[in-house]
Amino acid sequence: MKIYTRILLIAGLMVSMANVSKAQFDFDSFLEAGLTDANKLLEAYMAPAFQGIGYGVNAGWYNTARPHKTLGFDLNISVNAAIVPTSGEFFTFKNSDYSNVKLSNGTSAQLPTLFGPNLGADDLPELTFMDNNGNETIRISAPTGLGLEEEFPANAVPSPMVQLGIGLIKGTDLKIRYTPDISLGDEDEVNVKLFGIGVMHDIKQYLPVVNKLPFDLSMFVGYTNLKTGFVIDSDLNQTAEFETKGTVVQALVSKKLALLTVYGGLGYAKSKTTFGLKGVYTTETSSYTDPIDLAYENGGVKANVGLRIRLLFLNIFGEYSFQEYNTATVGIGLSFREGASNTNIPIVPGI
Amino acid sequence: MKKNLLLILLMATIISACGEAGIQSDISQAVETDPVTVTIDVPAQFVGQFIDVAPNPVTVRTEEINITSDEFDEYSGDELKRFTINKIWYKIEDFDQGNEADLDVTLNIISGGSSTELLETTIVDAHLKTEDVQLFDKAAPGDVNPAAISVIESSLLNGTSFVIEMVLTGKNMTFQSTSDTFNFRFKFDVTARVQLD
Repeated sequence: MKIYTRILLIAGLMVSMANVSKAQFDFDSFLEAGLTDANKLLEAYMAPAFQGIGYGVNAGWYNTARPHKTLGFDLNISVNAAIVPTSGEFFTFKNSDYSNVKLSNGTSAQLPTLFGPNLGADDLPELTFMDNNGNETIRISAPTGLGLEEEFPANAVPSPMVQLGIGLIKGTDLKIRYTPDISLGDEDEVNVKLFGIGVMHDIKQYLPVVNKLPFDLSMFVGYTNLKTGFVIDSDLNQTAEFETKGTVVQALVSKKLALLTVYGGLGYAKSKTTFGLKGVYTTETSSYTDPIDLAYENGGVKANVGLRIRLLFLNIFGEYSFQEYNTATVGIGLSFREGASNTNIPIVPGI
Repeated sequence: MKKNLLLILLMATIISACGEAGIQSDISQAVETDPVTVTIDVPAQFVGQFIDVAPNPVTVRTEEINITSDEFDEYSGDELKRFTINKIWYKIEDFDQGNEADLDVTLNIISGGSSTELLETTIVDAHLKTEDVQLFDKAAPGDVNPAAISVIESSLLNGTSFVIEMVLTGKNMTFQSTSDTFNFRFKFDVTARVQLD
């Protein structure tokens, strides 16, 4: 039973799919405390990662409120980074909330989450795990954070996106996010599957007076489903799975000024992320099947502003969303046959 | 191609290193050793009588002790940075009912062919020591020789075994039989400092 083995491995996927080797954490030890405590502890520890993913998938859908002409299209790749707030770097561990795991000293303590600081063993409270008879089985330093803030510009959860937008009719864009079920890693130990669909529709055309104003106005609704699987131990058939579903509904506005387009959105976004460990996991005293099953939900007002630079067919864009986990987006893409602008329509007819 | 595209995207947009500091943790567990059997003989003429001091000391050694557990075994030598002995307990099992004795005990740690005295102590009413009795506490080491503790810790870190040698002399004894065979069992509370890069 390796203390630091697996969980951070999975978390590492979200932090950096390109380098997961460091991020390891042993949930077997958590299981020594029984399923209820293990789920509770992991839920608190992992919360910023899964919450961040939820916020991230709802970002980066658009970089203008202007739909394409029919059969016009754009292809974008982007990364959304949901910035973990300071409050997400620690969680409060209270002995009274747990049955089989307690602080070795004290009754409550602030423990780092996965996105908390990377503390040495001397700076981490010790947790005592007990069996159902109250006998101590092991004592372990509380799990440390990865200390990303010390090494990265921001303490953020990244979520990459590949997206295609196609102009339909009557000022409507269909947006598709898609990657097939692809495998990553030397032994295909990670698989990722992404699907999303969104519709942006020009509503300005229906609004008298407003339709003469020099900006673009659309409604957007989008849904994203990101599934990731992880082989934890192929010999033992142990895997981890997480799935994020995000939905966003917004009113969009944009204004094109030469090469620049300033855009913004206001609406509502929600997401749900589930995480499960599949397979049989054996502790010193018990054996558990599919022991971990976590779910995170969030929802609320989402407001974002962005800027796009267009160089011929090339778009470079950046966006910032204001929500519990503020989210920064950067992306690049190609766009063809963008819709006609209202920008140049004179506000006063005849001028 | 798609896989490469995604990887390139990830590489290009996410800093590939996940941190240089590594992850550090202390793992602590109380590990019990196999028992060592001790036999104290009493001349027949002294059975049922009070004996001040047994005529001959008894020397016994444990089997090779390699304090380990699944928890510690999972880590490679590079990942294990140090071991710390927090506490040592002993208990005595299977002392014959009706026999009573105190024991003068000298404990030596033998590792790599050399012996280091751990402790000289007297176990009063040894026949009653059926529950864990604390022999050493890092926070209050008392008369325990820190050099012997270091020998144990080094053995753990180096993955080598050690032996506990006990020299026992019974005193204040009242035996109802000519011989009593009982077991000494040691328990070590050990902390392993693990560093994962």
